[in-house]
Amino acid sequence: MVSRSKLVLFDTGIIIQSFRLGIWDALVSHYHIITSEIVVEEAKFFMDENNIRHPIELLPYVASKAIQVEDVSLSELKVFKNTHDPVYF
Amino acid sequence: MNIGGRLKALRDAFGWTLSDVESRTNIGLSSLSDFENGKREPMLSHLKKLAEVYQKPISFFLETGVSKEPVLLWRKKPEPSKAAQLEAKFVKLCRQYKNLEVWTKNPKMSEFDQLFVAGYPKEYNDVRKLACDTCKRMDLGSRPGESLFRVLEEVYAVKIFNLDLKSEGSSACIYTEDYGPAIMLNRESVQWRRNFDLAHELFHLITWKARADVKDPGFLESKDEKCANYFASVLLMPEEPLKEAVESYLNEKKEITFADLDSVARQFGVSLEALFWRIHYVYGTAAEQIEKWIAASKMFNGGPLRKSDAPGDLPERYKNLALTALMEGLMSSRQFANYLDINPADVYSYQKLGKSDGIKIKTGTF
Repeated sequence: MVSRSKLVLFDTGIIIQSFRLGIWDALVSHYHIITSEIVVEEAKFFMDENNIRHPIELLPYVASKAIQVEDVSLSELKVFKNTHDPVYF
Repeated sequence: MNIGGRLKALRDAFGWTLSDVESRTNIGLSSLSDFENGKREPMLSHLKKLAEVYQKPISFFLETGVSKEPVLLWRKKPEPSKAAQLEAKFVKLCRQYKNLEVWTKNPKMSEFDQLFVAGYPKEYNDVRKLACDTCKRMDLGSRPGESLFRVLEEVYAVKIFNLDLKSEGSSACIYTEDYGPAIMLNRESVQWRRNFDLAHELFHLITWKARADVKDPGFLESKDEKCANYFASVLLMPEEPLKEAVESYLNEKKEITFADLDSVARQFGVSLEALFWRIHYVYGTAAEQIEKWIAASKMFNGGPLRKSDAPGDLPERYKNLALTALMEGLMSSRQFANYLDINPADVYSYQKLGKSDGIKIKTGTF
């Protein structure tokens, strides 16, 4: 595997688009991707140009540690809330 | 109140067991119990699922003070646990609608404040005058049933949702400084019933600030409801246009059939029964006679020949604001999916739709 230099944080929309564009595996091989538990649960399908659904299977990538999945504790969330604009909630 | 207390209070209000929450969130029973008892704190992924089932923002669980929930005025309140679930869903939708308005800087015109009355109407004559004044002020025309919904939603930025109340409730309304005016209608009701409920709730909204001098702001007395019904009747069926319509059907003997009266009811977007009671007030027909006519006319009232539209899950204005926010980068695709209650994968088809709208017209060229 090519050495993965950059650390990137991916949200649901980015992962879905990556699968739709067929570039997900390339991204995984070039970047150290971190995402959250919530995103793994949400990114289940992508739609192609003909509005046909295709499944997204992220669990194999998680199991093989190709992507890193994190969750946030309540205390970390409180710190974020106290230091950022309430609009994020 | 800490997070465990808030979780328990919500579960009790919704009438759910821990098993009910487990089946809705896929969070294990022991974890749920530990969260409520304060033995363990939920992670963000747990909190997000709990926030979704309880229809609360995540920030709600991070607050420690006593939460003050907005008070809804119900026309016919469902049993307590069902009411708690519906109120939570309704308030969440209002919050989201307000966010969309703020992000897209819309409405550019919102004149609802001008509709508030200074004092609560004391007599039916005051209610009648209020209805006539409101109809004129809102410029609803001679058939207000046709325009009321659109004018309330698009001009006065009233948030109107059609929710699944089944047979357990008909309508409710709320006004808060945070969300503005909002109305909940029953999606299962026929169109002419929803029209009447809309006008009924409008009365409660425009008298909302005047309710400080009424016994209890969250409580509707029987006379409040009668006033609201009378207001709705006068607003939807203004006297002169109504008389003109009724009298256009009279034969040489000054008679009118039930079928013709049903046509008049359709014109004004009301039920035949509502029309009869309006006739009682406009023509002074005795109540006993009206009741006999209502009983005899049952076959015409909302029968198979009169079609009702099925309202959408979300208001058109709400969906358009959400699409605008998505296309202008004011909300993420995931948030858009949450707001429209769709799968994140389905956002792509909306993004394709929004791409076609880039036309701007300069005033002065038409």
